[in-house]
Amino acid sequence: MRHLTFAVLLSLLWLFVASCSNTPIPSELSLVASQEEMLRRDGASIYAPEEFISICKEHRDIKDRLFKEQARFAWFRNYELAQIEYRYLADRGQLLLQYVKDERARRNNSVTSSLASHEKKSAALLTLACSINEGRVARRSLTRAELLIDEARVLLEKEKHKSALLLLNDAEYYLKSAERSLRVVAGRYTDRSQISHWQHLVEAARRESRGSHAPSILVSKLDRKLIVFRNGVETHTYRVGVGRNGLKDKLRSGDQATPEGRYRVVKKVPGSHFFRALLINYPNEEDLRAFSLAKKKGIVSKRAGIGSLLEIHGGGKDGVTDGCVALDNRDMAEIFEMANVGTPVTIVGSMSYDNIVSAAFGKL
Amino acid sequence: MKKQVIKILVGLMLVTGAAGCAKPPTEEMNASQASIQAVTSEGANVYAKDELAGLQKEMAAAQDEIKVQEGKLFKNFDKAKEMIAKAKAGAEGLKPVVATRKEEAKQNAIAGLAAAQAAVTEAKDLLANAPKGKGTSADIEAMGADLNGLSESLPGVQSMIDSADYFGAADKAGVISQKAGEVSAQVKAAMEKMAASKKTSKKKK
Repeated sequence: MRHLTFAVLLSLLWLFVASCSNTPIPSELSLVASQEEMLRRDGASIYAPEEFISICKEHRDIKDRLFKEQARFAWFRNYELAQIEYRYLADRGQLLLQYVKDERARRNNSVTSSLASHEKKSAALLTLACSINEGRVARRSLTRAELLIDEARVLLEKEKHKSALLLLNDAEYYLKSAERSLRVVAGRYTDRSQISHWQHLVEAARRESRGSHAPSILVSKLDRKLIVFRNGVETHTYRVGVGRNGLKDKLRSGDQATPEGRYRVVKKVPGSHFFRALLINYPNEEDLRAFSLAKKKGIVSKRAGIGSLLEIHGGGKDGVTDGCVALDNRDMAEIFEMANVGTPVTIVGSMSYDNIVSAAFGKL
Repeated sequence: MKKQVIKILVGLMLVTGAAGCAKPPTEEMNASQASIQAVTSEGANVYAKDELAGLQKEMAAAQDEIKVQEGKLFKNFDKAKEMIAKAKAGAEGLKPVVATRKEEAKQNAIAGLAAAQAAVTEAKDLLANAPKGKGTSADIEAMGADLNGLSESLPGVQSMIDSADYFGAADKAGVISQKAGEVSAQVKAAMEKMAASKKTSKKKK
């Protein structure tokens, strides 16, 4: 009987020891666990959410199976399958880690390049907006675009790529809006046929001065230059200011545009409000024709006047005028001395296709 | 002797039965998860990311422990209960931390908005008092347009604050303040330039 009791107790002890004995679990378990942690930290849930969820689920399932295996009687425990599964999962995890790293870099590059492209556009438009009096029409949109670009830059630093791209999309809207405003004003300055027309006017002015010591005046509005030709040669160049909407061709009274075409000095005004002035014969016949046509087409109101008293005057080249051409007083004094009643004055938009407008729009 | 063996066996069976019938701490688990969920919805995923990840890790470890114990003949969920209780306490403790950080972020965003508004107002005032003349009117108009662009962006900061995107609001406000500062600097530079040119022209006379 004693033997029986001893045998029973021994069996129970063996059972207890056997059930409690710890067969080492596969080392890959900790590898996969740390891999999952790394994936989480590296943003796998952002860059590859589906694969990450799948790996996490697989990890849980394998772990469950491992626990079941662990619960088996010590002699029957077999971790081989779990080990294989863990190895496979570790490989998947490794691949995903690499993918996340690559995807992160790809998105970083994508936002960086988009940011750079937006910055380039914004800078080109701002340069143009700052160079022309009409730039104000685009500045509001440009400012909003710049703010969004700056915000996107902050988000890029925080690796919030999606949000950064959304902001850049919004910035694109404002950049386009700014571009549209500027194209309305300055689009003609990229039109080759328009520029060719202006170049013919320039050539005519130069030709007119040939064989004569009398000066011929040329104003290039976009270049903000006043050039004096004598004998077909450029003898003097001065910086000028033009109308508030000076890039436009003057059409009516009060439009603050500077007219384009061939004019002549009709009066010299030594005691002008703006130091000294040369009055030109605006409107000429061509201007009258254009005005009449614009009225017929309803482009200008029937009550509108064509405007008058267009001058080349002093007062400062940095100012904006109502359509006149303004120079610093010292320069005006020189021109006033050179010019006479009858001196030809040619006003063009630009002398060359390679101008700031073409350059700016070319960068977009 | 026979009675003794029977007693031992019965005793062992009772102990085994009692141990084997130990129930997993499901209720505690649910309560703890609810606490973590609550603190997450209060913003722990934004304002206490690392701490929340730590809690989730603790909960996962507790779940593993339960599964291990469930597979054992002699189940003991004490350790799991301890882990769950620790996670729950951690979640409860995180609530005020989240609330504090959220409030800090909110105050920071509000202060950022106020600073941006002040910077825009300062720039507008400077511009309004800038000497107007033929030489400056184009610049004044252009800078005025810049400031209008900035003013139009200010309500966006308030909207972000209203939707509790405090970090985004602070970033946006910071960018606006910086731009407004740039405009102010431009106005001041233009004013100084004008003042300098006036002095020079007076000397010339």
